[in-house]
Amino acid sequence: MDAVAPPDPVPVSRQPLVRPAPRTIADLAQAGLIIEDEGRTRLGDEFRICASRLHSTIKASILSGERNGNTLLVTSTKPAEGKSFSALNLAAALAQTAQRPVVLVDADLKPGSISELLGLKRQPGLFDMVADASVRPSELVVATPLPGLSVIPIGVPALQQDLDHRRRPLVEVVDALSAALSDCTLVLDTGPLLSTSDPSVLAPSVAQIVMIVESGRTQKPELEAAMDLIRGNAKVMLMLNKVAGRQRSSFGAYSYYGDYYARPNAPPPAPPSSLSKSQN
Amino acid sequence: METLRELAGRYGALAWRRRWLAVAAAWLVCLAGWFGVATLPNKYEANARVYIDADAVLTPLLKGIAVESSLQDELDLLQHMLLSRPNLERIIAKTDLQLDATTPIETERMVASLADKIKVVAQTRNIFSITYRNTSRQLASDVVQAMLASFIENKAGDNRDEIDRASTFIDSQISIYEQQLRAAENRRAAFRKKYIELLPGDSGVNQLEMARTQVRTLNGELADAQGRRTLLATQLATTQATLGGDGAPGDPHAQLRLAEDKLRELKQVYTDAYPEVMTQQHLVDTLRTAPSVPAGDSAGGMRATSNPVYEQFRLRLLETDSQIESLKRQIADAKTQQDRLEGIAKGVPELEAQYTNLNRDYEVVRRNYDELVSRREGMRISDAAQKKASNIKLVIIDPPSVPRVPVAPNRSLLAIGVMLAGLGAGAGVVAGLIALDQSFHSLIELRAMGLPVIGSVSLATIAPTLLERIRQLALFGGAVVLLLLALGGVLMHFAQPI
Repeated sequence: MDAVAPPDPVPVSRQPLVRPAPRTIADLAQAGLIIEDEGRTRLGDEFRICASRLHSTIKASILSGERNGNTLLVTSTKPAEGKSFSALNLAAALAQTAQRPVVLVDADLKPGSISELLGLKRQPGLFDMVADASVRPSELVVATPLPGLSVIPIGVPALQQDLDHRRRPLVEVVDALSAALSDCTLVLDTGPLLSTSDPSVLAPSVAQIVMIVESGRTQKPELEAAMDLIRGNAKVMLMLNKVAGRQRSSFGAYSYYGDYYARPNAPPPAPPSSLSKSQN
Repeated sequence: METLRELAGRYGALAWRRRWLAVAAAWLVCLAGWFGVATLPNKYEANARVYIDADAVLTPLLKGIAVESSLQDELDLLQHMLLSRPNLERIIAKTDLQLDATTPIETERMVASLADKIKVVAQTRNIFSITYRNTSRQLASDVVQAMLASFIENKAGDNRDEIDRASTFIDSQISIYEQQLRAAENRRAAFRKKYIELLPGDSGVNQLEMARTQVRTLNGELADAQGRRTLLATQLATTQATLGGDGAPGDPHAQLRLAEDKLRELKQVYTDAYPEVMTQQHLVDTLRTAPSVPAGDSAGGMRATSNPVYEQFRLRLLETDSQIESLKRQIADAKTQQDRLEGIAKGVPELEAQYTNLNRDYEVVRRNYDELVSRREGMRISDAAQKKASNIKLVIIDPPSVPRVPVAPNRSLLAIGVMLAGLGAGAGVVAGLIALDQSFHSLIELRAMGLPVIGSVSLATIAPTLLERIRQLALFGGAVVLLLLALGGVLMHFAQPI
């Protein structure tokens, strides 16, 4: 984190592409990346399974030529349900499993978002595109130590008076991003549906939406209300997060994982064939 | 499918997550409850025992006239007398209760609450305990004292009234029965008068039977008289109406012979000195000397004279004739009488029934009348007795006393109850939250939403170590134990004499 200390955001936004970034995996891990964590391979596996299913959906969307088929919006009903965490890890897992590079786009204005965690708070990003149509997406992309994973920070929201004449809708920005980074998969991390307007504004312009559901906390009526706010043709998928304990129907309820965790240095066993079947 | 164990585990985890909420609820309820229990006012109970002669108080003299009331009824009545409105009003006026009852409405409420709060319980048939609770010791005692006093005060007057009432009642009943009795008597007398001959009278002789017997007797007498007349008629026919000279009954010689015969008979039995013999001798002598005199008459005697026997027969015949006539008339009379009675006698059974009815009515009325009269007399006597011995009816066995220790509230019990309620509230809060919870716990539930599910991710935090678990459990247990300790402290505080 200490490595990233841009003195002044606005001039920097005009700087060339070379910019400070998370330099090690440990920096990413500090931001919440766990799929590379040796001690918690089970979580990584779970994310990888989710990512592989996401990947096939995205591939299908791209092949069928849907609008912004390479975009994926990650949201939830309420704050603190694990959106940023899930978005980061899903993006990392996608980057690992799929053959396409992944760009994680931070579209969440709240403090403590991915950009802040990665030390990119003052970097130019998404909102610079909103404020200025001339900013090119490729200029904003920040590479990470994880191969195939890049980040577009939130950027600096311009002051209101500066925006008036140049402002463009967020939807257009997403279109531009999707077009400019068409060989990448875009993962947009946004705020909660029931608290902010961004996700519902962005929803029509993306092809996939992953709704994070916190186990034991997100209430069914809340989820239904959030669903009602999503317009457009995006494919909405659910992901259950923060599952406590072991459940037979969830991933990893098999005893040999226990054995495996007991011996952290042992090589990961091949996933049983029955497992992938049960996840269909 | 989830097994029961999984379900229990899940709810257990949900409850565990909300454990501090439960602890907070329990503490909140307990502290509020204990404070409430501590501020409850003390209640003292005044108690007195009295002996009340329920019989004397309740049934002055009406006993036996009306239906006998049951024991329970009597006790109820006595309780109502003790808690009667005037009684209670007097109690309020006598004690400090009047300070709280300044307006009529307040008095009304006070009376109602007193009637509810003062407990009169029959311990035996005649011993009653009077109990009253109040937050003030003095007031509790005063109320019971006032209650007894006012009851004793009232008792004499009440009794007098009741006796007067009973007496008036009996008098009015007596006058009613008197009228009835008189009417019944009159009816009976009129009936008797009308059908006197047919009713078995006091002599027990049926008038009809008497009439029949009389007819028979008269008929017999008539037959006798007629027989006698026939006999007399034949005798009269054979007797000469006039007498010739000889053999006349008045012949002195014949008389002399008769007298001499008689004298001989007498001399065979008696001596000459016997008076009868001497009289007879004298008669014979007289007759012997007499022929000279009758000789003179004998010349005249030769004429036909009327025969005295014949005359006598004729006289007798006439008598008998008139007797027969008289008997015939009597028979005719008796027959008429008999016929009349026989005519009436056909209705006799009905008459007898009527008469029995009349008699019975009369008897009943008379018996009741007699009863009432004797009761009135009895009442006079017992009234007099009561005037002398009226103070036996109410005796105070235990004078009103108030224990120093309040009888209510039972703070220890309430404190324990409050703690149980607190624990219940904690459990209830958690249970309610879990029941209201509609969150998702498994992929199966999430899939029920009808949207594609890409998978589930475990909780990212490292599972708590055993030490950490023990620490959490100890913290929670400590909170509960602390509650129990607090209860102990509260109980000790309440146990102290105040």
